[in-house]
Amino acid sequence: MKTRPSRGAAGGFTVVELMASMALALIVCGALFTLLDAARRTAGSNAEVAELQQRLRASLHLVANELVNAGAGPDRTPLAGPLGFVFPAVAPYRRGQIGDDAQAGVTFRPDVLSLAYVASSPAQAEVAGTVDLGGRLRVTVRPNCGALAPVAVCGFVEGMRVALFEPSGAHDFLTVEDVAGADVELSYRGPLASTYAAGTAVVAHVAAHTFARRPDPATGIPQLTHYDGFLTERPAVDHVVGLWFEYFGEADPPRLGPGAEPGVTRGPWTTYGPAPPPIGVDDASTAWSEGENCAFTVADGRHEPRLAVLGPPGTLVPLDAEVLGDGPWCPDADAVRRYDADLLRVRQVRIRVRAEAAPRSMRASAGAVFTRGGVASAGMDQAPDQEAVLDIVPRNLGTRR
Amino acid sequence: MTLLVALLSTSIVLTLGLMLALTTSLETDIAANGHAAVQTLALAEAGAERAAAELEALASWDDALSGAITAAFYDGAHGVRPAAGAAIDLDAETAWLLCGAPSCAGQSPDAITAARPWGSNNPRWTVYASGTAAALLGPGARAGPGYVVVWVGDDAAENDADPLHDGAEPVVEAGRLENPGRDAISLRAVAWGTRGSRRELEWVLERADAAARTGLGVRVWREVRGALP
Repeated sequence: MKTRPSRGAAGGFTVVELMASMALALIVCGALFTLLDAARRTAGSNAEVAELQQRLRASLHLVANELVNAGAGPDRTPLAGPLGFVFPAVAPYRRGQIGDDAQAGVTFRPDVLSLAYVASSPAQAEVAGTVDLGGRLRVTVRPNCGALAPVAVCGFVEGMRVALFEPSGAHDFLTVEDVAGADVELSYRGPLASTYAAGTAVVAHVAAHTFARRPDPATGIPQLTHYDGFLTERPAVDHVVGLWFEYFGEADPPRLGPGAEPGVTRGPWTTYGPAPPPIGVDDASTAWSEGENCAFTVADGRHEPRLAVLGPPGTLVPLDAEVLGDGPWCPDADAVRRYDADLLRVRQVRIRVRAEAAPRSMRASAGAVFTRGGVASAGMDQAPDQEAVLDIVPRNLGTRR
Repeated sequence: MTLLVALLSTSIVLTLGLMLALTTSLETDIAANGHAAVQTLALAEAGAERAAAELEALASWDDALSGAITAAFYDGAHGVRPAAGAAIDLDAETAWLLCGAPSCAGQSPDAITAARPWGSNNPRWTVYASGTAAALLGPGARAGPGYVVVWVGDDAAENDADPLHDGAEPVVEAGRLENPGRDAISLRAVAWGTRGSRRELEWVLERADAAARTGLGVRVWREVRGALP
C-alpha cells in the first residue's frame, strides 16, 4: 500500500501554491498602490484647490478693503465732503504719476480699477497760491492747525502723497518734497490739470490705489498687481487669470440742492458732482459757458443737469464702457486729465476674479474650464479655474441718508 | 512581506491624511479669521449707524459732546468689559483716543501732537454708545460675542476752543466770523469680535438741513487702520 506523504513531512509548498499566493499578493499590492496613488494625487490637487481659493480670497480682500473707503474726502476745508463732489473716487483706468491712462485718452479698461480717498490725517489745507517751478509746485497753504496752535501748517511731511483738487474737477496726485513755513513743495510728473492758483483748491493727504491684471514680465504668469498711484507697482497675487470690474450707478442725473448757492451756503450743493458757477458767472478755468460746468447746463435761466436719465428714479443701472467714455468731460473736453462726468454716478462696484492652479500638471488644455492650458490628462490631477464675485458699495459714494 | 506592505501602506495613508488635515485646518482658520474680520467691521458700522440715528433726533449735540446724554444703547463708559474672549478696558481705550497713551495721567487732551494738532479744539472723545452685539441687535437676533463702543467728539473744523459745544462763537484768533465746524460732529466706532478681530471707523456727520436742524449726512466714512498701539 502506498501512502501519501503529508505536507508537514515535506516541509514546504508546492510550486503551484507559491505561484498562486504570489499572484494574489501582487494583485492585492497593485490594487493597494493604485488606491494610494489615487489618494496621493487627489490630496495634491485638493491642496492646490485650497491654494487657488486662497488666491481668490486674497484678491477680493485686497481690493474690497480699499474700495470700501473710496471717496472719503477732507473733513475740513471748503471742499469738505466726499470726493465725488469734485472728481471721481473710482475710475476704470490707471491713474497716477506713471502711465496715467486719462492723460493718454484711455477711458475704460475692464480689468483695471483706480480709487482714491483722503487719509485719516491732519494734513488737509486750503491753497492760498501756487508757483510752478517745473516738475515742482510750491503751494502756499492757509493755516490748518486751528486758531490757537503755535504753528500754522500741520500734518504735511516729506514723502507724503497728496491730492490737489479744485471745485472745477481738476485734480492731480503729487508727492510732498519739502515743508517750510506755510509753503509745501510738491513734485509731479507730466502736465498739471490746473495751475491751482485761483485760491479755491485744497491739498490733502491721499491714499491712491490702482488694481490691475497683467502678466509678470519675466515669467508671463498672470498677476493681480497693485500700483500706489506714484512710483511703486508690485505684484500682489499670482495666477489671477481673470479680473473684471463692473460699475453700477445712479440712474438720476445730478441736481442742485434746494437753495444751494456755492460759496454762500454750506455744501454739498449738488446731489453729486461739482457745483456749477452761479448763472451769469463764468468759471475761467474751464471752457464751459457762463453758469455751466460738466455736470450742469443752463436752460431758460435755470441750472439743468447735463447728464442723461439712465433709468427709473432711485435705481442703480449698469455703467458700461460706452457710458463711461463718451462725456460730458470734466473739467472740460480740453483738460489734461479729463474724466467722464458719468463716473460720478458710480455707487457700486462688482469685482469678479478668476484664479488658476499654479502647476501646469494640474491644468488640462485651454478652454472654458482652463484659461491657460497645461499638461494634465487624468481628471483626478486637474484643478479647474475658479471664480469669485463680490459686490462692494463704497460708503462715501452715496452718503445721502 | 505582507506585514511590511501593510505597515508601509498604513504609514503612507497616515501621512497623506495628516497633510490633508493640516491643510484643511489652516484653510478653516484663514476663512474663519476673514469671516470674523468682516463681521467685526459690520458690528462697528452697526454701532455707528445706531449712534447716528439717535444723534439725528437731537436738536443740539452739546449734551452728547459733554457726556450729559448718551444713546439708549449704552452700558457705561468706564471699567473693563469681557468681549469675545478679550477684556476691553474702556478707560484705556478712551485715553488712547484723547492722549495717545493708555492713561491721560499727567497729560492734557489739549496738548498739541502730530495726531491732535488743534490744541484747545482737540476733540474730547466721550463714550456715547456701548454694549455687546447682542444688546445692539436686540432679542431674537443671532448675534456673535462682539462688543462695540462709539465715541463722539467735536469735529476738527471747529475754531471755538470749546470742544464740549458744537459750533460756538469762534475765538478772536480764528480771524473769521463763522465757525465752519458748526452742525458737524465726529464719531469713532470700535468693535471687537471673535478671533482677536478689531475694526475702527471714523465718521464725520453733518446736518443735512442746518437751518431746520434736521436730517443727517455723512461727510466722511473712513476705516482707521494701524490705530492699535
